[in-house]
Amino acid sequence: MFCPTHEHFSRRSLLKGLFATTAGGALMNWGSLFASPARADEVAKNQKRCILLWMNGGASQFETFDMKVGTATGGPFRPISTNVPGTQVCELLPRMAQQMDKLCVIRSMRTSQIDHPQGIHLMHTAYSETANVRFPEFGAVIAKYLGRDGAALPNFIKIGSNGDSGSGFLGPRFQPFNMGHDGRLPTFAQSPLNPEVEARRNGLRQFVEDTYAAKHAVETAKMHRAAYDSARRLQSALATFKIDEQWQKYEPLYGDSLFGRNCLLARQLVEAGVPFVEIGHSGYDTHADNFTGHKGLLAPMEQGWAALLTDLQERGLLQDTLVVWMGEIGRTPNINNRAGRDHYVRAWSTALAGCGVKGGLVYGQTDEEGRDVTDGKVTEGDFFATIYQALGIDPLTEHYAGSRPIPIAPFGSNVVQDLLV
Amino acid sequence: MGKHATWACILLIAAVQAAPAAEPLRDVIDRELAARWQQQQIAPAPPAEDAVFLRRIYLDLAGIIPTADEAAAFLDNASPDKRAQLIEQLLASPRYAQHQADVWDMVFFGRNPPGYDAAKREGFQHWLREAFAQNMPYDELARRMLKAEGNTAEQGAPMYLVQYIRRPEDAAMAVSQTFLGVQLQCARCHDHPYESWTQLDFYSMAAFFARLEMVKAGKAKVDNQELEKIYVAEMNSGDIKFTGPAKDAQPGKQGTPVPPKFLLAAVLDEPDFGDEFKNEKRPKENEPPLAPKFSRKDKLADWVTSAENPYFARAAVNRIWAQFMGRGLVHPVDNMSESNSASHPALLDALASDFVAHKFDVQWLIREIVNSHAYQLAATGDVSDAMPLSFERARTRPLSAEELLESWRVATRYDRLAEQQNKKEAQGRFSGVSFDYVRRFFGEPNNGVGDFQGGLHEHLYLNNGELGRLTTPEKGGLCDELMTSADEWPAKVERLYLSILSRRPSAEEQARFVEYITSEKESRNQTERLREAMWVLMTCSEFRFNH
Amino acid sequence: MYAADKIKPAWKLTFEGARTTVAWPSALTFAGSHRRVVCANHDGTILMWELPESPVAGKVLDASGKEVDGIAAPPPVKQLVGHENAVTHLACAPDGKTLISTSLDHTVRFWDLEAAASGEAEVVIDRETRERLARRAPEKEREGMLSAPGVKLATLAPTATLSEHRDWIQALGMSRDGRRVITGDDAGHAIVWDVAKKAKISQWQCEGVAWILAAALSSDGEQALVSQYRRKGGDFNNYPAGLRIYNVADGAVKLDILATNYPKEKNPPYQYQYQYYKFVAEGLVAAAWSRDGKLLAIGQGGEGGEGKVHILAAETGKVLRQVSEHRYGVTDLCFTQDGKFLFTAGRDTTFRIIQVEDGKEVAKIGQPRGGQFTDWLSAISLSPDERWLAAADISGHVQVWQLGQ
Repeated sequence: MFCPTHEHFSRRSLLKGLFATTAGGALMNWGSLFASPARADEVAKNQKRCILLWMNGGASQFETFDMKVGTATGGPFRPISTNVPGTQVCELLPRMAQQMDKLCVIRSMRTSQIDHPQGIHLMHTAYSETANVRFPEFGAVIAKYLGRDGAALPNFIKIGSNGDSGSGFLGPRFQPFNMGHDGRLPTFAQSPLNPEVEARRNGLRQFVEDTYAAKHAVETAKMHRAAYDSARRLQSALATFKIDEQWQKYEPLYGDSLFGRNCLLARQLVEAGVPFVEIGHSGYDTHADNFTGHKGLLAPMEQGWAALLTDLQERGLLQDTLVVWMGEIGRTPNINNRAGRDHYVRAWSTALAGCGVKGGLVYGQTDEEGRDVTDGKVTEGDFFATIYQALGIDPLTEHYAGSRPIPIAPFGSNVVQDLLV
Repeated sequence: MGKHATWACILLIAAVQAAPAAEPLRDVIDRELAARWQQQQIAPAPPAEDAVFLRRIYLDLAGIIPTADEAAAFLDNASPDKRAQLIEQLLASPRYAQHQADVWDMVFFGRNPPGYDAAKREGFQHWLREAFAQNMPYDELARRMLKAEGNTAEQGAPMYLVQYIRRPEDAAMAVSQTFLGVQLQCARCHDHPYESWTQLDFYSMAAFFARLEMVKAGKAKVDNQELEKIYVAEMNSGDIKFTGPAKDAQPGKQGTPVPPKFLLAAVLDEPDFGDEFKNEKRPKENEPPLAPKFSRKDKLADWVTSAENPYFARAAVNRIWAQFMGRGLVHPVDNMSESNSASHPALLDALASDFVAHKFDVQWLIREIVNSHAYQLAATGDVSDAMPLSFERARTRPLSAEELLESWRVATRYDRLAEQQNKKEAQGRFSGVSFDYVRRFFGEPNNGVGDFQGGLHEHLYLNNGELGRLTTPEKGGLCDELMTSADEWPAKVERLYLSILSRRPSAEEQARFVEYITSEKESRNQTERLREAMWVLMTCSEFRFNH
Repeated sequence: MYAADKIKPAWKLTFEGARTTVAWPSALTFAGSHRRVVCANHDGTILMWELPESPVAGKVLDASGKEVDGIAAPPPVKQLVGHENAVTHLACAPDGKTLISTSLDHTVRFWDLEAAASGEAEVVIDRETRERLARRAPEKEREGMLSAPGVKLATLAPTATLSEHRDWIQALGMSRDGRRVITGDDAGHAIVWDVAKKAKISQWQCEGVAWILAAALSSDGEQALVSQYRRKGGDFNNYPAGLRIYNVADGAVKLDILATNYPKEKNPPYQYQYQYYKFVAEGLVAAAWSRDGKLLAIGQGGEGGEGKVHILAAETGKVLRQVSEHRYGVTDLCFTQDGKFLFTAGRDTTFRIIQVEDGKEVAKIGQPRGGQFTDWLSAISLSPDERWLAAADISGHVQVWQLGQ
């Protein structure tokens, strides 16, 4: 709803500086022009990764982690105990209750975009939409700093998820690899050629590309070549996207749902070195029938989520994998005349687990009826700064959109140190 | 208020001072750009070679590449003014109107226009094509869209407003952005902190669209298609209500009606109807609506498209400039504001005032731009920026989905094949492969501010998709033409290059391709090799971009 | 024969919950005659009213708090104390005193409406009105208005609290003689109870993991119609839904109505899914079985569009007709004893009377009320003499209508 003031600062002074430089215009963030290779290597060595569980439409904090039972805003669900003494969650999360020791819940989110498209943009990029700048999703930022050049698997994978900001000004190299919500590979992912034919055809194509590149240094053509190379490399890694053979073994853990399957797929992908995987789960915009809606939605979701944490831990991956759970908005304390809850961003909940964050922690507080944050307010900027910090990426890292410096977490954001180990 | 006055003043002074110059605009362009190069010690690229110019101008004016015969004829033409001749020839061709219609359809609607009805807009597209074919002045074109007289099938133009019916705020944003080059969206929720406009300015603009409704009244046939006739109706009553900054908004608060006011200009003088239309009924379904007693929308249309409007002509020339030169003189093109000033202010002024003096003649403006030396520079060199800030080289831009598919059809002669075989595919511009896929993979070639964003996904289509259908060895296609030609392979490879890349191959290229194909001896295998070679040229960077 | 112009409002009983909660009336039934109404809400509160023989003119408060002429609504006389979460259904046996309630608190409770009081309680039944008036009142009066005494009434304790269910109980159905009831929960578990013995007769687990949203017993109580549905069952092709007739004795499936109308295919084509969705909508939430055993009525709930009622042949499960289009979903329905008329209520603040033979809508009573989305009538009950209808209105009222001859 509000554009932070720094969105508007004048470019004039910056342009002045720019005119003084020689030809070439603004630096792009594409390729290795801006990224600091030394930094990127250092981070990649630790193989940190991130999985985002995206609750599209906005899951209710009242029906998950910030219950207000017995008050006017409470609703019909009851709290249950967790494996952390003194901490309770909604009865709709029985399996996650047993993972509470791994979980870091933030009950005090305060964000600035209350509708879906704007909220989806905000909670994927840390920024509100503006006319001049195409902000990258944090998946693209993580792909850039934690991804490996020349990897066969894409560095940024979205499975049935939302938001179309993609890599923004980071350029095509960090565009997400989009899979359907059924977890299948996109159309045309598989080469129909026999490898020998493909190889010779590729040889001729390389010759043609080299000829063009000898005279044209333009960045877009370089990106076109790089993207072609990654499309070819992908062929050798397609097996990593298949889970059918493992599914029989894992179904009891992950649950018989698409979300559960996608959680297993995400685990398989991060295990193979993909630094960022996002899984979408849709249907949370419960303006009507919020309670039956959440009762239906949360059961497969929380089973998949709990299974993912269990599986990551058993494989020793959890300490290097940050699992983020959020939607674009929270839901209203007031219950409307459709037994629904509407959009709300004054006080809502998200949760983190794994890499770099404390388990068994509930951070922040809302008032008696969940209408406002009373302690530990976390803005979208603080939230993303904390995520980056947890993953070992300096939140002050800047990119340039044209000549304008843009930090990966907005100016003035604070890392919530209490959440970090 | 002070800020308003200054900004408006500067614009007006500029408009007054830059009276129509005797100097042709193409020379003004070259002079202004060269001055900057000199000042900043930038060495411009050399002029583009004929073959580069040929492909560039075909794509920019016609949206397709030339056939091999057309390419050869141009390259072998010794006339010193053959470039200017080709420009005239293309400006006069039906493809010019088609391509401009494609480009502007995207400006007015985008790939996914809001609202259900605008998804099917052949009536609008037909009208737009006709408008460019007749070189309708740009102010007239915009006025017809904003006045929205007639229906969306037979007249076409009303479809523009149909997408914003009952969404006056969105209409205000879109009209300001598209026709005035001004972005108001921040002011939707609060006063813009760095620009002149306030939240009230935003709602005052929205008030012009507050009374629009739409009426569906039967069907009409356009281009052999049954289309719904949708009329834009305007009520005599209805207001935008302003409740103050969104962050202070209280639920249930109604707000006060906002009178319509032109952006940073006068409040609209409108008659007071008292209670005459207090309980006005919505227009009747199934019949063309009556005109209102007083039309806010028409007043806005007249104000927007007026030669005196400080934004209109500048926004138009800036957009058209960017279409051919890559970057807008103000960039992004639809964000002209105090804090985002022009890179070449005097040039922008000259373009705008000459455009007004030439009565918004779009074809004239395009002719001047593409005849400039700057437009005809090479895109080569060791600089990486695809949209050079000082226009010292040609821009490199990705082909649109339409340009790609239609050019593939020309390159492979799939168009000829379909026609010769009397295939159903011959009817459609985009037939041969599924245009839905092409649109999905190539439909948004840049990220909205001009940066190329094609990534891995488009190569999945190029590598593993349907292009094999276009390289088919069936009779009439390029593959068949070359395989049945009596020429030797070096000549065939020359033909291959002319067909797909619109140029002759270098000796090295020729040798490499001849070897690639003739390393097989059997004709059947050579056909396969040739199809692979066609694929290589159809998917390479040189084809993917206009440079 | 019912006629729209003969139907008149009789009483509007106040039963307001706290503002902004879903503490709205959720279940109700006449008990024995039109003179006794029992209504429950989403907080788990159950109240009983004794009504005069006919409406009496008196003074009522209008919206601004002024006294105006109207039909004085009697206060409730008893509170049934026990449930700890929303009450989903109430059913009363023909004896007029044996009441069964089901709740989201996982319990089924039995009550004797004529038993001795267990104590006394004070209940505020006009909380919303108080809050509304207090907002406009001078500040010094506000506290007093809000804390003024409520209605004093006798309390009743349940005669039995049955805790066999392990999840929300959203379905309750009673045989015509009132000797048996069926209850169903969100775990797919159905139980048939002997009302006199307050004991299980039989129980079974329905297929799949879908919630039981509605259940009805045949007149003799030997067969049970059970409707299942689950929102977002995991994104697979079909909505997990079921509509089956079971033999009560052994829990065996006698007829699978969805399977009969929509035979399962391995990869259902779009058209199949479309038809299936058209039938199931967002769950079939209300069910009734005609007294002669021939007809079933089943209503579409949720908010997906037009809430329709399917009338089916009980023997074959075939759809005979679709009736009663409520804007948004259906909430409740019942047949008249002769099976000639069907009453339906919905999320559009209306109830309808449908002539079963030809599907004609005899009457549509009530005006859709609310904003873009209307208030609901969440439950209806037809008096034993079929001349009165009570409707639970989520705005905090029980509407009682005189249906005429």
